[in-house]
Amino acid sequence: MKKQSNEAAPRFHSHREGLYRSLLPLAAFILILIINTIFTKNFWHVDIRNHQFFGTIFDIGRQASPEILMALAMTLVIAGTKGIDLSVGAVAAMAAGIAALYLIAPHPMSLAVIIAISLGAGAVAGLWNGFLVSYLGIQPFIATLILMVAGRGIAQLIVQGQIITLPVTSPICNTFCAMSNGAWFFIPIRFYIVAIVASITWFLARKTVIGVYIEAVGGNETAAKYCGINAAAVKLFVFAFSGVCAALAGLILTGDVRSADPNTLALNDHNELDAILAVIIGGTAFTGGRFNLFGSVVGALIMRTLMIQIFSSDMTWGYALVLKAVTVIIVCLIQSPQFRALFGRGISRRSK
Amino acid sequence: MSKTVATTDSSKVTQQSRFLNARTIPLLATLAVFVLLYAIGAVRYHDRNFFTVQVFIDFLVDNSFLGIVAIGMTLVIITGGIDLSVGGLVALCTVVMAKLMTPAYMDPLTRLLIHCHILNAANACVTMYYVAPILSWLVAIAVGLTMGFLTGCAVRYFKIEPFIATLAGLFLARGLALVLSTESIDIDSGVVRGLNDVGFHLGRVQHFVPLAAGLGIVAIGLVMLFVAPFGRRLLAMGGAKPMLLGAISYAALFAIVLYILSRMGVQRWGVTIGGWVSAPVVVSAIGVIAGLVMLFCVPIGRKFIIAGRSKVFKTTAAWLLGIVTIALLLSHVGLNRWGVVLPSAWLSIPTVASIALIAAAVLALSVLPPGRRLIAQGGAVSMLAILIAYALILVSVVLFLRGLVYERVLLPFPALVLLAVVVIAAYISFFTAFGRNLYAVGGNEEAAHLMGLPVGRTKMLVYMVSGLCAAIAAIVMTVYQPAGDPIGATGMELDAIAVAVIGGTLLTGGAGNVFGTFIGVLIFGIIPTGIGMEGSLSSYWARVAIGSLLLIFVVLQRFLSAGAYRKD
Repeated sequence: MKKQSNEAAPRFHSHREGLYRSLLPLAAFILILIINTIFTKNFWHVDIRNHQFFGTIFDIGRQASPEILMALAMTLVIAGTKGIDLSVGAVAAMAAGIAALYLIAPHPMSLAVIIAISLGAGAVAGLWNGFLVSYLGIQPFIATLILMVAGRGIAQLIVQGQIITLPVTSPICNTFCAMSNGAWFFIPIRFYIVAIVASITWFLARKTVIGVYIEAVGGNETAAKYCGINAAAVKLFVFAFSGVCAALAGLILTGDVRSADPNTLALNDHNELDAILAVIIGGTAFTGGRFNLFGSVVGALIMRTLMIQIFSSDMTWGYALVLKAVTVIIVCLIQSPQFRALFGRGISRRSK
Repeated sequence: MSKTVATTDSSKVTQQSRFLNARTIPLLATLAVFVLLYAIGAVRYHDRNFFTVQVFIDFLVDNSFLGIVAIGMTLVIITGGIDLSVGGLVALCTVVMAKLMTPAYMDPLTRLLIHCHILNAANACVTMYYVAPILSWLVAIAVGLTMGFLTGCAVRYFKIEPFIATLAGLFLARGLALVLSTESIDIDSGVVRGLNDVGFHLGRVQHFVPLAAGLGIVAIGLVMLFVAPFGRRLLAMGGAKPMLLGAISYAALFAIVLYILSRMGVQRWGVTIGGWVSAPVVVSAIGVIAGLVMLFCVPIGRKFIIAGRSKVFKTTAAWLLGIVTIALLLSHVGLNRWGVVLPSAWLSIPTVASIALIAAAVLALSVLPPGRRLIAQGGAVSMLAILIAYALILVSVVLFLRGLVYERVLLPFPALVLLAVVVIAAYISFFTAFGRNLYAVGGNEEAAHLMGLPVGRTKMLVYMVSGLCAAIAAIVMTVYQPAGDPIGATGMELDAIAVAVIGGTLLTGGAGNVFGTFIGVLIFGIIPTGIGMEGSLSSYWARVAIGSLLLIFVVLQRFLSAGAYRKD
């Protein structure tokens, strides 16, 4: 009886535990890289085509980029609200649809304006989620579910239910796609985008007071309010940030395939679930408060490496999903104090 | 019986919140939305047979798998959890079944038997055709239960968030389905094909009306006696047994009269009785007679008279008016079939129905004791509740009768399964210890634990129930469209959550109702149908409409639960 009530009490994160959480994904990633170095042919092989680097290692980065963007924002959402943002897929689809519509217009506006409008739409969607969560007090899961359900429809309405293809003849479309596919000094442009967003996120979360606020609100909202922190504004911010990141990811994905297909973006790809997965693997707990941005990035990279591994070895999409599931289960079990108490008494005692 | 009386006594204290509290308002709001949407549909698309039983049954059939999954989801959400794995699980089960039913993927045992010449190949194929489906269902159910068991273990023993555990389950199930087959497998099986034609024949009007009327009246009588305040007061006054007998004998009498009348008018109502007697007249006359009989010969009516002389005339008038409006409705039901031509075209069924509804509701509120008491107690909100309740009863009666008049209606297998699942889930959640544990665990886990309730076991079992529901949904799905599709049912888990929320289930746990979910499924069915019938609107509006409904309900719940059920 006593033991049970102990388990029900909130978990205490010691410093060691935090370190453990952040080092584990990195260790796993390094392990995967080492295994690949040994067993995969040409894993580190890099060649230059079309003035940019190609090779397995760059493919992982390329494919992981949108996921990293979403995962970064998702980390802040999970940390600040103890909830998740289910709507990122729908928001990405909406932003992609808007951008595609403006891009194929007969007299398109300048690219910067179009991108700004799309990102703005993402921000608005995020603010809407934030409004529901912080001012109406709805759980993040259900608040974002609303936009996820409706967003699929809205995205389809934006593009009139069609897949908009960006024509090769249009210069502005080419520029837009180049931002997703192109390279600058041999390195894909999307790497720069991800690097910039990641730096901004890191700066905001670790070097400004915003990060402290997010941790405070996620850790104990009531206490944060008594300390004079505007919890509603913090939540609004994380959701808006998530919306912008999702929109950016949507634009990158659109440029990737030169077309905006809301159905794929919003539904089939499970973008939101992948992003959540990356965060979980990265070691950010759903209990709120503590978060690990670096872990989320590594989590996204781990997932993508495993995926590429699977696809290159002629296995079907099904195995990829099974592998994802197994990874999540393992990670969750490792993170679960109850599980560690079962198998590794030593670890759990040391972490306390 | 003693149980009923006991709850009557204990709930006296909280009588005001009995009908309207944070638990019932979402349910009533769901009902109101359903009635509203249905009424709009009936008026707008009545030339397209929206207002028929067939279309109604189509809602049930088209959404039966979603409904079954949503029922399981509702139970999980009541405990404060969530089950994201159901969509993948449904797909996995359909693929498993399809594989087992396809001769090319014969199971090892059969292959061994053929190999040892115990079974010859041709016979084996015939066996596959007829026996394999039943085995494959068992396997599918086992798969569902196992998956639920694993999720439940993760939640119970390792305290993994239900969201994450079931998310892993979603990927696992979907992945396994895709590993088993990358493309859709057609099912060709005698049993499955046969099930397509299996259903419950509701029969023709001549045989069905008396039965339905009798059953309906018994049901309404029972509800009035045991649920409505005035019935309970009568019980307290006169004892349960005579009341029950009175209600049953009254219903039987009514059923016999209707049956005789329907026999007489096998060809056309009224015509056989005499050329000048048209259906409305006959029905109204029956109504008046029935009303008088009810008041003076049946215990309930007599009790009324005894209870207060001054009320007799008012009550009589109310009963008569109510019955006459029902009779009018019935007469309009027979618009075409019974050859009755109405004076003017605008007097269509929806119009009459709505007028009758308003009249009945106003009467019920101002004259009938429960209505008056509610007004005295609770004011406007109570009025709304009683209005909705009355409206729903009337609409459902009219709806069923109207549809049944026109054609032989079949209640197909998927709809039957859905209804069965709803009824069983309702029984489990309201009348068993497990069901009460669900609410207790969702309401306050700590308190439930301290009370000695099996929190862990309940949580584990509820995920198994959800897995079982997913397996049943998969079975129904293979009957509906005989194929095992590894990418089928994509996003079903989120639709199921949406349905549960629209049905009044609180995502924080502790409050919810499988009947609400059932109505939520109907709403989910009505929206696309209505948008499809509108024609000019793109089908994507359905998503937007469902999202908006979700928003309205979530906000409503939030405000309702702000006082009563705040969890944090």
